[in-house]
Amino acid sequence: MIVEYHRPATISQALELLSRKDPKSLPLGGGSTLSRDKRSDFAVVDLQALGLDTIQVNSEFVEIGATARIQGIVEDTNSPLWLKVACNREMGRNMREMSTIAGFVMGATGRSPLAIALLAADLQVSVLPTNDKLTFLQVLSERANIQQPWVISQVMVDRTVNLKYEFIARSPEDLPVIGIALAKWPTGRIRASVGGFGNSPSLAYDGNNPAAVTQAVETTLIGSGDRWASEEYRQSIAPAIVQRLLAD
Amino acid sequence: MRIDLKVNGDQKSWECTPGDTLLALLRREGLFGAKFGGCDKAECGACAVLFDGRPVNSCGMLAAQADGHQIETIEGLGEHPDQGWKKTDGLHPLQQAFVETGAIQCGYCTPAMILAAKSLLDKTLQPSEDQVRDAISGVLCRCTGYEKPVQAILRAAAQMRGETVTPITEMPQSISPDWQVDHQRGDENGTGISPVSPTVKTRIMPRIWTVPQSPVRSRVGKAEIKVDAIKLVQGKPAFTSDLEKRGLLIGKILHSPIAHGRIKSIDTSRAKALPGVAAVLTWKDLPRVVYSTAGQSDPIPGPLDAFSLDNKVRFVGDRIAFVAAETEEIAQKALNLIDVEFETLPCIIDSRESMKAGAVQIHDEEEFVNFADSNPKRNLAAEIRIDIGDVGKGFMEADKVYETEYVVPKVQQAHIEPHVVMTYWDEDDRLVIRTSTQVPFHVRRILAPVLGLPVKRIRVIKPRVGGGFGGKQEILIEDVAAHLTIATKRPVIVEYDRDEEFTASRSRHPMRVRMKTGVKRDGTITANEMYALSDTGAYGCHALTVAGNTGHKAMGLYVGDGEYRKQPNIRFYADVVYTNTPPAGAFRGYGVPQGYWPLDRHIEMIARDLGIDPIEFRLKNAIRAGEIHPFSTAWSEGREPRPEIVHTVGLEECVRQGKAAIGWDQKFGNPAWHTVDNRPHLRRGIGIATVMQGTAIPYLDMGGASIKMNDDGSFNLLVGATDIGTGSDTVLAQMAAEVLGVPIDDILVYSSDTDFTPFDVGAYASSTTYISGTATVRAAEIVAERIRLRAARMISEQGGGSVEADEILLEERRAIAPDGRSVTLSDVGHDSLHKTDQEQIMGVASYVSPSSPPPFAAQFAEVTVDTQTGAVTVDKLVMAVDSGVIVNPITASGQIEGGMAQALGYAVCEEMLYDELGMARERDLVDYHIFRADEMPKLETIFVQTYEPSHPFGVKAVAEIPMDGVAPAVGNAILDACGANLTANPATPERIWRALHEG
Repeated sequence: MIVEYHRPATISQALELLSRKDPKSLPLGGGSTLSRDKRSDFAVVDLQALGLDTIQVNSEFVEIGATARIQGIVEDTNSPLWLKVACNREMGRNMREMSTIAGFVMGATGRSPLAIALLAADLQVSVLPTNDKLTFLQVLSERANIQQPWVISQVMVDRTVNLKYEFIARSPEDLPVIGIALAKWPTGRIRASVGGFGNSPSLAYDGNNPAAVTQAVETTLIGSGDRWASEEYRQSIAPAIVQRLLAD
Repeated sequence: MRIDLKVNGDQKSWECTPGDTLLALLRREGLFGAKFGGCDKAECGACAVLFDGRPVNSCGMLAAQADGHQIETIEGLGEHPDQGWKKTDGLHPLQQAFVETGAIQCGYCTPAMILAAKSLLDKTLQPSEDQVRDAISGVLCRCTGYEKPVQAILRAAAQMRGETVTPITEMPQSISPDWQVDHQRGDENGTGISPVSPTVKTRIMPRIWTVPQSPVRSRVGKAEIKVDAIKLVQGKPAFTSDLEKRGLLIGKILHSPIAHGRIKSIDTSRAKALPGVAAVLTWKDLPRVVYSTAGQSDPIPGPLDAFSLDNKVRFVGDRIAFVAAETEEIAQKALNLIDVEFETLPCIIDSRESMKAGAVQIHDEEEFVNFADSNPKRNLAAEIRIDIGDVGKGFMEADKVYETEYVVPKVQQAHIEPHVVMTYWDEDDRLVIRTSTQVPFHVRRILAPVLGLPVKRIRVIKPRVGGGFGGKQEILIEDVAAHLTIATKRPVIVEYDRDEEFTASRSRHPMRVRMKTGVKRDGTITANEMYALSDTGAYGCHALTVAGNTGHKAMGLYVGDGEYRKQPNIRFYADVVYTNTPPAGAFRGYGVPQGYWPLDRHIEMIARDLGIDPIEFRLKNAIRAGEIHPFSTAWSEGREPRPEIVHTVGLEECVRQGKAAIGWDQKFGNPAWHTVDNRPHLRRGIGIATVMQGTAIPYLDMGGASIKMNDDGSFNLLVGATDIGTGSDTVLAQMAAEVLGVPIDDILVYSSDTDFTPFDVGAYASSTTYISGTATVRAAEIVAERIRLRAARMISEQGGGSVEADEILLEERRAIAPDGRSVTLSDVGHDSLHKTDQEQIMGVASYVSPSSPPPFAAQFAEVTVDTQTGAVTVDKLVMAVDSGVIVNPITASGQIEGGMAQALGYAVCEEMLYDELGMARERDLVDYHIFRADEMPKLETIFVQTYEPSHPFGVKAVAEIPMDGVAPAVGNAILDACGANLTANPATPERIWRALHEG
């Protein structure tokens, strides 16, 4: 259970708090289900006072501060339309008003529409205290083993990317049983991500050959069968979805 | 730690722990408008408050996070305009609009929805309907289908920007017999706002088609405001957990991690030693009393197979121990400190395995009490064998016989207020059980022996209930709190979380249903047979009666035609078996939705194979007015059956009206309509299902009502009927007001309290308006008679000649003589209590019905199917329903809309699945998806008013029938769209895809 709450005013204070071993300290973004965890005692370090909630643009990227809320991304005029729609598709209004982008990045599952989209868009993630720039794919693969202090400071969405996606679900706003996102860059680069299963979405393709995407997606779907849909189903319908995305 | 918040404009400093949620803090400080939905991922939104103007779920935020911020709760919005000598600004326009439009049903999510809407209207007073739906997309509602809340918000926005809105009472309701749908309705531009008029149109009224003999009445049939709306819209502490009790302990249950096993040892010493733990109870501590948790009349029509605590567990989630502690955290820690050693037994998850030779016996306790044909040695909780006519002969005479097996899923009621109960000893050493229940009198009767108390020492109070849908027709956790109060002598609250709702509550019985139907080439059904294998889970609650209704209400609809109509050949067999899964129970529709998926899908398939119009085929074989309900001669919930004539059948008119509304003739069979421009993989389809329900259980369901007159001419109406958000208190008040000639706000309704209100079986079987309504009318007639006698004397004493009591008319709060002389009811009430021949004018009455007049409906669905992926989008649902006379068009249409939304989930996305060890796949409202406001299809409700002669005002039931036909209508529409013939629901993308590819 939560035994301490801290709201540092500076990033250095935050990192110092997070570096403590006793009690174990975890960063806190917007909404929290941490209070549900009764198994061990830990402290939370609320990042809301660090001024990391801005959304800015430069020539290449939309830079979204770690504590910017998902609804803030929807409402920001600089956000690309595909991003706004994916944010709306991800969760209902109240959760969008609570959830921060960094919290989302750390908690997204394989069934997350926004995560599928962001993975295809090759989201970049800036991390403190190292100032490392990681890809979203790297974060997804490493997030379970992160050692504190480790805080996302901002994420960067490439403004030049043209992204489309399709989510197949039981209802219009249900979590998808399969989702495919296809990103295209002016350079001809294509990235395809696949989700609807697993702990995180999968990168299926990153290259320049549209003809190779379908096969890559099908390959990614090997072993995807779970309690929500069979591998056979996912593999069978994926080519049609990919073709639609490529054609569009 | 201390935090400073600005709450509703007041700066406050509050103490909290670092782990306290904002919800916990607000409720602890008396702000009960934020509700607990039990969710683990903050997914339901009932706890929403405004955080610096933004809607957030307060259960998902720490109180400490709010330090230094502004919080708005529903308590800060508006209040009752008249508080004695102190006047207030009254309700906020949003609150007023919610009240006026019938946007409030159970009211549990209402404060959250209003706050979310306020956040939107604070930004714009010109919202589109899409914006409104997005604004409330974070608040799940299981009652309304979101139609009326959306309209309420649009209406409030119009008022706030200074526009005139049409008073609800002036809105047109009726349609003429030759009415055709108007496709040019000005308000159907998706915004809810007329493009031409500055006056917003509030789309809340259903269309009503009325038979000529329906009399016009002053209160019955009017869109009266719900009697509980004002308090619910203010977020008043009206629900079970809103009561504050000094010394309240938190009760928790240790649930089984395994599906089947014996408790070899259980050690509670570490838990008991934890500071703050008041009691730990195991099976060793409690008397071993076998009972049924089903909230039904005596004798329970099912096996007695449950104990409060047992030395055996039968599903993942079954009870092992109870804990009471000073705080939730301590209680949770104590649960973790209970050491249990199991002898694991083989488990049965698939109902097809239950009765196989050598299957493990789930109920081997010696106390098991059989009912009828239950047999625990065969894992058989109930068996039904009904033969009507000569089914074998019917099949012999058929030109063609069709057989198919269908599967219907286990689904959850998902009321937003979880199960919750608070118990305490009162000053007379009587045990008070304040509980969110549909069946307070059954709670008292059934728990008395379990607790070792006589009935007279138990008082059950039902406050407002945040949705039930059958899930609270169960004595689910009342015993837990009661045992802990007995053990500790202290008040105890037990409140389920959402995980427990999914793993340790009740659900709809899943079934495998085999249909066999014989037909002539002209479409005459010669014989119809259904076999249902029903899975009751680990306990047999409602096992017999749910399955019985599957046959009774579904298979009773189609009797055949010609000679077969006179002597139908119908067979319904069912085996209800135990498995090691969470028990099933009552769920709105009570077995009937399980019947209509196979029956109606089968009918559709036969009609198409025979080349007969599917609607003509249905109507050709459907029961008609004046005919005997075929099952009334054969079955009555385990009791002696007695023949019942079906007096009113509005089915043909429902079909006619529904077809017009959905544009059936323009779409069905029209190849052009089925395609979508530039989207060759999309196909449109249209489908219908015709259905029949029941109204109460004949010769069994009993309701009582008591009415007393006050000295200002108002009346207290006390009913045992339990309004669980349906609006039953309101319609009962309307009926009383009709008889007594007063406005509805002169009727003060109180329900339900076993100490004060008359007996009523409770809210189930679509019985309240019909049964409790008749009781209310009878009680009101007794009161009216006493009023007339006294008024006649009082008027005669005015001079001008004597008046007889039977000449007096009660109207507009007056008792009026034929010559126009009158006295006010206030004068009559005052006279009766203070002046002459004093008496308390009151009436008590009850009612048991000899019949169960069935409502009928035609339900239509329009869908778009992605033929490459199997994804289906339901575009529109229309329901034309014959529920007899509609007492309140707004509350009744709210029932239909909410029921359609719930049934839509049953059609496309809701199901509960288990792995081979009995572990649930669905444990929250994320994985178990219920429809949100921003994804609903268009809904349209039409009432076809017949006049049921067995009720004083001609009513039949409305609450359950919307559950029945949506799923098969959607299934039929999918078939129409792309040829995918589903045998199992919900219609998930993969099921549709498989049906397309596997033929």
